[in-house]
Amino acid sequence: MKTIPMPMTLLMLAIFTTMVGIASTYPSGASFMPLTIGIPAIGLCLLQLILDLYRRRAPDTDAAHGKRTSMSEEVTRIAGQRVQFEMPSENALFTESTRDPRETVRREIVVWGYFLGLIAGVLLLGFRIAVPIFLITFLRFQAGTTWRSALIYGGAGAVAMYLLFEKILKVSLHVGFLTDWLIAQIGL
Amino acid sequence: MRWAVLLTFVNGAMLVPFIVVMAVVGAYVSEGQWQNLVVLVVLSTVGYALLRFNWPRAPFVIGVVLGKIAEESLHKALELWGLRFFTRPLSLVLIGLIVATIAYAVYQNVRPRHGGLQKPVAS
Repeated sequence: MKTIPMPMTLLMLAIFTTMVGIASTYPSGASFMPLTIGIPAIGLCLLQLILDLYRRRAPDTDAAHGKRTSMSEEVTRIAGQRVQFEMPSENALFTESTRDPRETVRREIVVWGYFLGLIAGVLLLGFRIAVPIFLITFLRFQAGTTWRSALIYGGAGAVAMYLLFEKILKVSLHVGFLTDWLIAQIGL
Repeated sequence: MRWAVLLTFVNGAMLVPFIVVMAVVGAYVSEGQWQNLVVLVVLSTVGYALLRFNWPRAPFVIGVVLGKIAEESLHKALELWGLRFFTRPLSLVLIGLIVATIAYAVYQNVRPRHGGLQKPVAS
């Protein structure tokens, strides 16, 4: 069963309460929208808190008996005959429900690392350098392709991005602070 | 367009980097400012927190996309009708639908179900 943990409810309550507190110092016209959103949201957070407390007092029966029913077992029980869902086997990156939670966390940290690395790379080196490096390393080390495929797909993706945005749409992509500084130092 | 079916056989892990790059480029070119990338990281963190704590992401996305339009429309409506805007028939119908939706969600959470299972408010 999916549950909404109380700490998140408390966090959202704190966010909306702060928002309403700040908005109440604004002039009436400017504060109307934040108050229109914030006050009902505070009410809903309080309602959610009550529901969270209610759930704690009346826990999930299956969980209380130490039994976890899978979705296929639930459907089997309702349908009256055996139902087996097919799970994607190739797409290992997204079969979260069958994986060890620690492994899921490890993979999420890795993907977050790649994402933040891409953002940092774009800010420092620019799109033209950061994007091909990101695509090739991700395809090679996370998607498990060969170096040849990673270079072909990553290079093609980077070239397609360059042609689409810079040549066809005439959008100037971020050059990168470090690259910009280096170009200025060299005097190009 | 039959060849488009082939896309369903593409390994998801190979699509991820291209989707991430498109999201990053899209965030940048929307205003052409690097600060948008910082906003992207912040909103990604919020989205991840919502995912981890089983909060629905769809209302958050709708709020981000439609928030500005809703605010402008609300101010226009208030200039036209004042606070009477909230008691107009269409407004009352929409308010009623919102209240009914919340009430139904609460009812689903508190009512006893087969085997004691309870549905969450948001899934």
